[in-house]
Amino acid sequence: MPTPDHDDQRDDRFEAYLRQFRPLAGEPFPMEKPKGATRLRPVFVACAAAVILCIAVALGFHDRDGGTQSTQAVDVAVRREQMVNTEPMTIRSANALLATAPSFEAAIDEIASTPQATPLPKDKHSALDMLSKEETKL
Amino acid sequence: MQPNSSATEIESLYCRYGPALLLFAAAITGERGHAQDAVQQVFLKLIEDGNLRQAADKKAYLFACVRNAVLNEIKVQQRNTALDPESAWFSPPDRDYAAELNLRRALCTLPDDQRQVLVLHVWGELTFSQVADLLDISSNTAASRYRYALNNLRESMCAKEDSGANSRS
Repeated sequence: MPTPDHDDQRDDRFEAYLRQFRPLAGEPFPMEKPKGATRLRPVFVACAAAVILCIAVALGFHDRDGGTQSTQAVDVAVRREQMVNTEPMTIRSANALLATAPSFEAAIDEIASTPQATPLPKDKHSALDMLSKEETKL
Repeated sequence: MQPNSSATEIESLYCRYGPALLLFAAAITGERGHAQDAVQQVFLKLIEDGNLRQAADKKAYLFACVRNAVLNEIKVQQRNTALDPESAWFSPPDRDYAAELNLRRALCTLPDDQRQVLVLHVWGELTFSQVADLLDISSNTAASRYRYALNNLRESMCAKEDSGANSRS
């Protein structure tokens, strides 16, 4: 009667012998994935939609900025026309122009290019004249 | 378009475990044609459904899927499966094709439950615990069936070798 240890060794040897037989591989795996491709399609559609949305949003912001700038430019032009047509440049009107101008430089440019259509009354002084007469201390 | 990572992983698993899965399927069906179909069905379904990521033990999960696919296909035709003499199941050591045929015939004489446990443990390299989970039996039962399978296989192979030697002499 063989001992259990002897049986175990015999089983191990037989198992090792069996493992020398390698299972044969089957046919190559068919990598056709028609449904996989279909599943990817919604992803691409979603990406395309996201890109289009981003572009639309960006364009919207751009137009909004441009619209604001153009509105400001129109305001300045109207203000300048009013100044030209109604009253000469004063510190008050210059301040108003500064408040409505898109930038300080733009306001200065507007002030500088504003023609003096009407002569100033004697009791009023031109802001530009006053500024130009001021001695600049460096 | 590159295959997605899931498909690549499944293809890699097919290369790695495909032969053992095919052998396991053939051990149930008795021939490789249906076994091949079942294994490929399983992998194609995995690509379609992407269920493999949910499996904690992918190897055991694959063997379970193949077993279910084969059993679904052949239903009752589990016992006394006919041996397919045309196609080999193994690549034998030293190109000993007589030994391969001997092993294949001996495997087919085993009861189905013993053959499955033997194939899963030896060539599928599953532990008895994994085999037990897969076949819905206890680990002790799996180990016991394996021991019986080894003994029966050894006796069957020796008997055939002896009869072959006697017929040659």
